[in-house]
Amino acid sequence: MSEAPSTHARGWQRLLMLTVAGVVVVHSAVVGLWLSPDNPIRESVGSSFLASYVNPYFQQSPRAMDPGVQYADEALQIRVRIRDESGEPVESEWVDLTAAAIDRKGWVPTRMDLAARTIAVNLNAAIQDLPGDLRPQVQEEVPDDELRNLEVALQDGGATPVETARYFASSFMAVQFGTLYATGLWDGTVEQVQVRVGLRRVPDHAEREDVRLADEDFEWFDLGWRDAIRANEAAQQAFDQYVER
Amino acid sequence: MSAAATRPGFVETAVDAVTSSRWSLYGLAATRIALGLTVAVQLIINAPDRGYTWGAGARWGLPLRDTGVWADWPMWVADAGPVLFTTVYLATIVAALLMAVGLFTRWTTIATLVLWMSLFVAAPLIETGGDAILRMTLAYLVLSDCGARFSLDARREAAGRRRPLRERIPGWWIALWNNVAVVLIAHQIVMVYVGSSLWKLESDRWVDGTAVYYPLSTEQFSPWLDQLGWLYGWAPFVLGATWSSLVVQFVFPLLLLNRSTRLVAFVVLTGMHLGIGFLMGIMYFSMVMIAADAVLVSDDSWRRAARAVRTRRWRRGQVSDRPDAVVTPERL
Repeated sequence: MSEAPSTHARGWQRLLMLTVAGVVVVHSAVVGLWLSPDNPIRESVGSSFLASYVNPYFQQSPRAMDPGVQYADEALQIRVRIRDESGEPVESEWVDLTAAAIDRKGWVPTRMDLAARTIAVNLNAAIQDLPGDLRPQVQEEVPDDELRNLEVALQDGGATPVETARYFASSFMAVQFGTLYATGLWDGTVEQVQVRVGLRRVPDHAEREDVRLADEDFEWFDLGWRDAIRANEAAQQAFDQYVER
Repeated sequence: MSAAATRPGFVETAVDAVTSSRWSLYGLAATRIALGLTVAVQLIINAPDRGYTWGAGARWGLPLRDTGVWADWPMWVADAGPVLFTTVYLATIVAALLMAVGLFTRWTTIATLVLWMSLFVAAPLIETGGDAILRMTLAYLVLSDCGARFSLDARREAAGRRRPLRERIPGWWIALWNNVAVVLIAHQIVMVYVGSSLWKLESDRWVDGTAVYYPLSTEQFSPWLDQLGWLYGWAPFVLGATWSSLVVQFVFPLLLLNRSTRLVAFVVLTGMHLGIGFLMGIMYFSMVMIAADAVLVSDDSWRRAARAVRTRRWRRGQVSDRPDAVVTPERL
């Protein structure tokens, strides 16, 4: 404790103090409930009610903050259909966007080195959340003007609006990231992008003597071809520096 | 009048405890310095990448932002032109450094919070686990008197070049909000640790003592896999790291009840975070957690530690003055 200019509280000071204490207690209780695993108190209050208070500023998750929950490597690859200077469409090889980040990784990696892997993590999760019989639909080639039909088909097939929105947000980011990357990497106009996400689980601890993660193959999931999502010139110029790095 | 009649009641005692003194001033100062340096160092390291990490080139991440919880936050930094964006970026570094050294502390703390948030909302996809804690601890620090110790403001005040805050604002008011900040930061830390341990207890891998093996085997969380792969497969290391982390987090609130165990908790958790930061390549997260934990070290503990250092230096002949009862951490 520090210096103590003691004071006898006046009535309004006591009232203020008690009000502040009440706010602190309620805030602490809500954040505490938000962070706790499922339990009867949390269920009775309701997750959506808690979320309405903690989002966005106090938004947090033990799982997001705990690196100990990561049990797999996830990867992001793209290939593109690009129209070169002769006007001929050319299909590129697959490019691994996560491998470059691994090569640069140190104990203080740059933020951007998280990007490709985080896209892969989000997209893998979004695809896993879709009902299994709907996943082949996102593997079909879909031009921009038919994406709305895909959205309707997913929801008609049983995907919730949240699952559908999460899938579209994740795939949109992957396609735009891929477009920016390919535009910076190759000459020509990128017309279409295909995204592939991979996942390989760490072998069980009991098998660690016999098999390592590096020996495991990725399980790949290819999304269908999508129209490129080009960014404005300023965005592309800024992103080119990432590709050149 | 009886003694009972003159004895202050619970509310009166509580009001007096919260408004008569500012708690944990040295701890708050340590938190302020560590968070300021963490923000500044991150931005300096990422400066060559700023244009596509938080600037115009980061707009590919907008769908996540627009479907997520940050949709209503203004995006003025990412929408600014390259010159304004770079100016804001540099201003964030300067604000964080000024906050760390404690110059115009309250204003630079607010500036660091606002500017950091402006960058953060431009690229929520690349947030790390420490960002949520950083965001909340910075907000609570704004309420506190975190510039009262280890700061240029305190030096200027001692030299008579700055008018003390308590001459402008009632002391009880400053103390009230400072102590609210300490309670909120401490509660946040406790909830993170306890919440995390409860989640872990629901996982078979944490309970059977193998959980740490898995992230340390991945490319994402293992920058030293080639050099230390043998260690990550060694069962005693994995078991020790898994269970010690689980136990320390679970009993953390109990360790806070006693002064000596509180110090033990701080030392153990600092070691744990440094280990996690180094082995898993997530040093920012570790620095933020260590910074927040520092609030839990009381001013008395800081003074005792300062006195112990001073005594040792006096015995070695490095200082001539015999240590007395008023040794402070500022004057070792």
